[in-house]
Amino acid sequence: MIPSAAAIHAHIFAYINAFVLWLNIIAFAVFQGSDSGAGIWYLFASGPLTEHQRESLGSEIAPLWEANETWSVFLVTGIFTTFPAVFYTLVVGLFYPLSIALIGLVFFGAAFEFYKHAPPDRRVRYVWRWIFAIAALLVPFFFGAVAGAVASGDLHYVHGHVTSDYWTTWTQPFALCVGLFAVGICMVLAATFQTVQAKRTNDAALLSAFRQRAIISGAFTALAGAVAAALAIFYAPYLWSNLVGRALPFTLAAVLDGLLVAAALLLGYFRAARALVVTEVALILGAWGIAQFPYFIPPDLTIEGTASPKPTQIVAFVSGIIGIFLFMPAFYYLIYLFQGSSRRARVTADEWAQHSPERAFEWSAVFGGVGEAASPPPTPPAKVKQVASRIKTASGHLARRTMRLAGITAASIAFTVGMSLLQRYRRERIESRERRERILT
Amino acid sequence: MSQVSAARAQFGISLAFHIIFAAIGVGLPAMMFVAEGIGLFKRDQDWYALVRRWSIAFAILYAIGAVSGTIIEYDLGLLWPSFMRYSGGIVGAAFLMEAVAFMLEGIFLGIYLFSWKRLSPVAHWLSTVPLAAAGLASAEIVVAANAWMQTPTGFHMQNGNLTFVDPLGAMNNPYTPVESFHMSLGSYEATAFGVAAVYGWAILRGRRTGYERKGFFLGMAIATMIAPLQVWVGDINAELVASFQPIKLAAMELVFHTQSYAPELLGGWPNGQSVEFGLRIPSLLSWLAWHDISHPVQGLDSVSQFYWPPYQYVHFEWQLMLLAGGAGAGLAAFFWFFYGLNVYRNIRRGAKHITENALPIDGLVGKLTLFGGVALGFLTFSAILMGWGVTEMGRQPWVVYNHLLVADAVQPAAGIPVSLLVFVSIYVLLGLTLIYLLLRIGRHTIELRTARAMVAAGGDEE
Repeated sequence: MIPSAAAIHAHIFAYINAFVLWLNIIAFAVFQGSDSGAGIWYLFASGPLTEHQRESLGSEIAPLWEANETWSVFLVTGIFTTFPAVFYTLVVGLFYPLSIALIGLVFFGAAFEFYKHAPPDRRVRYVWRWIFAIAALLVPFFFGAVAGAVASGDLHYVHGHVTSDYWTTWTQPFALCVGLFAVGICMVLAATFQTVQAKRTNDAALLSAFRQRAIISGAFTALAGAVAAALAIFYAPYLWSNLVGRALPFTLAAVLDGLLVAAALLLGYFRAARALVVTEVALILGAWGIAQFPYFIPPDLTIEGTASPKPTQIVAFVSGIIGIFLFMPAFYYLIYLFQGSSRRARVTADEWAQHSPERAFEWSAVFGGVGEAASPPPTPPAKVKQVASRIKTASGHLARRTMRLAGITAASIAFTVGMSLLQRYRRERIESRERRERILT
Repeated sequence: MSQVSAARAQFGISLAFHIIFAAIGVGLPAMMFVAEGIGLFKRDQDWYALVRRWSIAFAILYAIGAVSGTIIEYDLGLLWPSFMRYSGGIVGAAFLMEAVAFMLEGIFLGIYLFSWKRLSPVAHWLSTVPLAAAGLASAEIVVAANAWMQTPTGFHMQNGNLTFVDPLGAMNNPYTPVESFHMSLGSYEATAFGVAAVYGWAILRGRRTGYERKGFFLGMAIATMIAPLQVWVGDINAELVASFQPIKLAAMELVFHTQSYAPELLGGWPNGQSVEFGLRIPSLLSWLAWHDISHPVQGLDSVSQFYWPPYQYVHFEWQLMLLAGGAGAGLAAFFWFFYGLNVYRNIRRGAKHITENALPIDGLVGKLTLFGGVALGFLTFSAILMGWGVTEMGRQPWVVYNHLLVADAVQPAAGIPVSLLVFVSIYVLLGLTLIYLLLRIGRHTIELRTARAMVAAGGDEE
């Protein structure tokens, strides 16, 4: 069943890429999941703090959702590049749930942005808000159902055709239960993230509201998970036998971690709870992945059997690595900027834009035209004056910083040019040595 | 409606919807970079006010671009699963790289839009650089994948099995450099003309403050510098079509019979296998395509009718694209001639500011320039749609040229017509709401002329 070390070695890039894709699924579940969860809590916001809760949820996802939407695009492009047959099976065999999930993703983003920019007193705003919240519910449910269908082993791919039914694979109880389980996880993620946010802003009412919601949705998730596990005995026997077999440590760890999340929330360790709930998602998906290894989709599609040729695997792997190095610092910076402390520059772009003089620079000065004495600037009010003096000192600072930046840029360009010249020189030296060897022999 | 035609309609409509936002996503960050840079170093409120308003509009436009882009990535598989199974291992990596660029774009958009009150002015300005670069990169890479569908290279297929594959070679196929350059220039040109159209219309309606003038000037300046370049790149592109996809060229130019001294056809429409009306310039097509007036141009009759693209549409789209290209270049000459004339007059007069009132927006010339800008705003965006239509309809009935037929690539699960209906309703709904919101933003912020007022009124964020 498990491929030998030699077989793995022969397809090492396929296995590495499968592993990276699995990490991608985890990132998708955590980031898109927390966004969707925020949308679901939008739908279920209640109590005297309803609008306050919604405001907090909205401000959390506003700068992030566009980047987070990309995780699923990575997943799609990654699978069709490295495992085309797996992708074929998914989009054909699960055409309907994937289409609905796609519609959910579309409305999730578009409706959120429409709702945010709609006039506050118009009905259009409310319509889009409800569309946003319902779309947020559809996304995890149908992606969960897709995951359930894959895990069940009912998707069949024989001689280049998907032979399984287009409906029953994902409308069976197990898959639907996994869908509910995914919805629950998203709700726990979002509520836990909100507690950390509320803790930072010292918002006690919001904190207790979301703590309560996190625990309740956690209990719901545990129930859905238990039912799904029980159903797996009948509907996904291969998965079940391995969940209690080789993936047992992960399964147990996931259960234990779930209890720890609840404990951390009850005891008020919110940052720990956030870390634990992310670990929980990773453990659940990790257990699933290990349980169905070496299959991508049991029982027909193995990692080895569906991998695209090696050059493609290498290109995909390298571009993935370069991509991660490119966007991870930026992504971290984005989260740091908006979820970290209330850090701000000494002079922000807004202040600069607000207090700039009407005209500061004239082309006539360049062409030597006849100038007039500039009219005195309008006297600013006292507070503006204060800020203006601050800007004045800061602008000197800014100029120094700009000079420093220019210096660094020039130095790095010089360095690059120098290094490439050196490289060229060394290469030519080696080549000439080789030429010499050739001539001598 | 059959499965194939419904799938083609859905994918076509999806791309037509997406490509508008994709073009803006490439072009507008570059314009923001220029405008915010000028605002930063000249400390000029008008430029900041322009950027501020663009960023509000861009937040919505980019969001729609992002979700419609997500639709495209999914629909590649959901509508054409066999195509993706065929080509995923060859050129799928391009989409993967595009997703990286898409991610970077999303991240820096978040930073750009929401950090007015957090970052320093220079840092905020510089955050447009990765935004614009990522937008450009994603366009270039995804067009490389499209170019592969036209001129597939870098693989060898034997009995349906991939025996050799070179993913980078596939991305670097003969069409890639020119087609992606043409697309990115088109995005910049269309966005800049779109900006010029918005402010040109405002000036035509009598709002002639520095704010509108600067917006109009920036749009026109960028667009008219690109327009002549675009015509030149388009010509190179057509030469490549002549050598790699002669049937597409025949459909574009309605060449039914292979002939030497082929004439260039302007206007006209096909009636059966003859052309009605239209102006023919003798031998020009042979010369444009091959630089030799006696070189034969392959006609549609050289292949069986099954392989004919829908030439009626292709020809119409091609003509509209030519019109937009020519009009853009013409307006460029017109605009800069009169701008230069005004500057020259100011220098002669010894005016205080030599660029003062140099923008030709007065009198008949001004009317022509402004109407030209507004018309080109619409024309260039339709040219993007039309150019894309020529590329993809001219490739029919193939999905991978000379390798895989569209009809063989379609989704086997039933229900594409329903999906088409659903997605068309989604696009109508999104489009209408978007237009409503953009108009409202335009109206609502008219009074807020300066950046100061816009900041006081609370911008987009927090």
